[in-house]
Amino acid sequence: MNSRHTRISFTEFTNTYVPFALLIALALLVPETTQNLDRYRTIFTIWATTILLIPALSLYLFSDASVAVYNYWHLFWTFSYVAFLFHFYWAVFVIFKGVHGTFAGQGNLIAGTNFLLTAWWGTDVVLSWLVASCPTWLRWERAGATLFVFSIFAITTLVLRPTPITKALGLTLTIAVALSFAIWLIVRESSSVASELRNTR
Amino acid sequence: MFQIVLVTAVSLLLAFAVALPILERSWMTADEHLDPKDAFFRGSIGTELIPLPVLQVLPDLFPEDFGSGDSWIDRFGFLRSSDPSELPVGFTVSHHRPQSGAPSPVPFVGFSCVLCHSTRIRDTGNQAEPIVPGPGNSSLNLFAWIDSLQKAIGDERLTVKKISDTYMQKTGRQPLTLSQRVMIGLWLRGFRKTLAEGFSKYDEPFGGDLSLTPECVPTGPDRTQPFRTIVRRVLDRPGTSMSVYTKVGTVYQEQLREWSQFDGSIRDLNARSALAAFAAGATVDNLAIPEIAGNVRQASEYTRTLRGPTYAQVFPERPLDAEKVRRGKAIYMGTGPYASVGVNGKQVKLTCDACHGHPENGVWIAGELQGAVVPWEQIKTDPERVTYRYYDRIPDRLAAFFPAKHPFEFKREDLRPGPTGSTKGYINAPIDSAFTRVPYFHNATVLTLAELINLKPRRAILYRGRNSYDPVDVGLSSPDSPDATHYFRLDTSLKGNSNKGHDYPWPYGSPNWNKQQLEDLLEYLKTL
Repeated sequence: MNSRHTRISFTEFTNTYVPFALLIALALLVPETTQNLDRYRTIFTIWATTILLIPALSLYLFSDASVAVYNYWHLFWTFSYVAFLFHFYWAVFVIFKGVHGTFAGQGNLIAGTNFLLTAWWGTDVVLSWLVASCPTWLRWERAGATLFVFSIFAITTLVLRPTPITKALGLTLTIAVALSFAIWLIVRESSSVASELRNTR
Repeated sequence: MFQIVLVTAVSLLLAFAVALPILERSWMTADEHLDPKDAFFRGSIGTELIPLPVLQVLPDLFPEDFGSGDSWIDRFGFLRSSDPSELPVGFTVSHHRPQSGAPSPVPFVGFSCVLCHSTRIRDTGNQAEPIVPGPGNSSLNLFAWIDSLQKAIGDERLTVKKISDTYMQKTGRQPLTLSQRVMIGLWLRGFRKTLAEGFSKYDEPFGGDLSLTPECVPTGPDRTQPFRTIVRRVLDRPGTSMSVYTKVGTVYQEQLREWSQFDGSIRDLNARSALAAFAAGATVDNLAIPEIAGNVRQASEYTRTLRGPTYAQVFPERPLDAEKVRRGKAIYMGTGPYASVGVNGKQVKLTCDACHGHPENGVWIAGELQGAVVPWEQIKTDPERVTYRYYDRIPDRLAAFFPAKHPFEFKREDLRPGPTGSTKGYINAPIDSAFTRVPYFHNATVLTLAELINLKPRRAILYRGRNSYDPVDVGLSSPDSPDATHYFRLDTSLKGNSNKGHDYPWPYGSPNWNKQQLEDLLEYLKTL
C-alpha cells in the first residue's frame, strides 16, 4: 500500500468503536457500585485499554496484508490509545492530583516511563492519521512504539500488578502477540520460499 | 440500519458515562477547610449513614421503632440542638456517599465527633443549657438507635416512593429529583443487601422497644462496643460473643496522653481519631478523601488542648469548702497503699497523684506512674476489654489494614499489644475536670465519684437513660427502679459490667476506711 490513508468502512468503524465505547462506559459506570469510584475508574480503564490492545497489537504485523486488516489495526490502535487517555486522566489528575504528585507517588522511573509511553504512543497515533505515506523512519518509529507499548503492558500486568484479572489480561495479550508473531514468521518464511521458487524458475 | 442504531446507542451510553463523573463533581461543594473546633463539631469524618430525606421521614413511617414525632431524639439520648429546626447535636450533613465517600446528589447524614464526645452536665431538658465538648454523651444509646434504624430500613414496606411522598408531605418541599431518588434507591438496595448478608453472622436487628433492653442490645447509654466493628471488618468475624462494653472516652487535653484508650493501646493522636471514626463506620477509602482526612486531623487538634469546665463554673451556687479541699488534697497527694510496680518491682505509694497527677497553676503535673498500664489482675477492674478473644490479633491486622501512603497509615509500634508493650490492663490517665467524666470506669459502671473512691458503696444495679447530674455525690443519679427516662437496667454482675476494683484509697468498709477523709477527698476532686 503506497498510501496509508484508506477509506474506513462503517462496518469496520462499528466493529471497533462499539467495543471501545462499551468498555469505557462500563469502566466509568461500574465503579458506582464500588467503595472507591476514582480508584476503580483508574483500574477499569486500564483493563479496557489492555483488552483493546489485544487486537491492535496482534494485527500490527499484518497491517500490510490488506486494507481491511490495516483499518482494523489502525482503529484498534487509536481507540486503545483513547481508552488509555481516560486511564491517564484518572491516574494523573484524579488519583495523584497532577504531574508533580504522580512523580512523588510513583517515583521517577515508573512515572517517567508512563509519561514517555503516553507521549510516544500518542505521537504515533497522530502520525498514523496525519502522515499519508509510510516512510522508513515512520516504520521504525511505529515498530519501536508498538514494542514499547507491548513491553510496558506485559510487564505491568504480569509482573508489577499481578492481580488475577490483570494477570489473565496480560497473559491473553502476551499469548495473542506471540501467536501473531509466530504466524507472521511462518507466513513470511512461506512467502520468501515461494518467491525463491519463482525466481529459480 | 442496525449498525447506525448500535453506534448511536453506545455513543449515548458513552456520553452518559463520561458526563456522570463531571456531574458528580457538581454535587460536591468545594472542600471546606474547617478550623479545629468546627471540624470537631460539624466536620464529616466519613461516617455517612443515611440520606437526609430518609432520616427525616423514618420516624413517621416507623413510630414503633422511633416513637412519635421527634421523640426519637430523647428516646435514644441524642442532644437536642439549641435550634429546634436543626438535627440533633453531632449529626452532620454532607454530599458524601456512605463508605466510598463518592459524591452524591442527595445529602447524607453522618456523625461528627461531637455526637458522642459532648454532653449537657446540667441536663434539665432546657436546650439553652450549654453543651460541654469532650466527655461522652451520658444519655446516648447509639447502638439501640442503630438497631432500630436497621430494623426500619430492612422493612420491605419502605420504598423510594413512600420516602419521597412522605418527605414532600412532611417538609412541604419540592419532590426529590430523579437523581436523588435513584441515589436513595441504590443506597436502600445496598444497605439491605449488606444487612441481609450479615443475618447469618450477626442475626437480625430487634427494633421496637427491644432495642432499648439490655437483653437485646446490652451496650446501653454512653457505651460502645469499640471492637465489634473492627473485629467484623478487619478479621471478618461476628464479634457477637465479646462482652466488651466501653464508655465513650473523654477527650480533654489529649496532649497529656502519649498513649490513649482505656488500655493505652494507641499512641498517635491522628491514628486514635481515625480509628475512632473507623469504628464508627468510616472506611479506609473515605478516610483518604482530603476533606475527610483534614477534618479528622483538625478535630484531633481540637482535642489536643481542649479543657473541661470546672465544678465552680458549672455549679456556681455550690461553693466549695476551702478547708475540706485543703485536707482532701493532702489525702489525694499522700494516701494510698504501697505496691511494687514495673519489672524491677520498685515500691511505690499508690496515691491518687502518683497515678493521675494533679493541677498546679493551670498546668497538669504528671504523676510518677501516670501513663503506666496497670495489669488488670492488679487493679481488679473488669477484664473483658483486655482479655477478649481477639485482643492480641487486632493490632497486627489493623496496622496492615491501612495501606502505605494512606493519610492515616500508622506504625505498628503505635499500637499495643505489640513491640512497645503487651501488658493487659488499664492506663493511669490524667483526670482533669474529673466531675465531668461521668460515669466512671472504662465500662461506665460507677455513677459517682463518691462511689468511685468508696465513700459510698457501689450500686449493683443501675438504671440508665437520661440520668440527671448529682452535684453532691458528683456524678449521675439513678433511681431504685426503672422509669420512662431510666429504662436501661445495667446489672454489674453480668460479664463485662463489673464495677469492682480500683479500691483506692481504701476498699469500702475496710479497717482504714475513713468517711471524713473520703468526704474531704471528694471535695478536692471537685476542684480538678
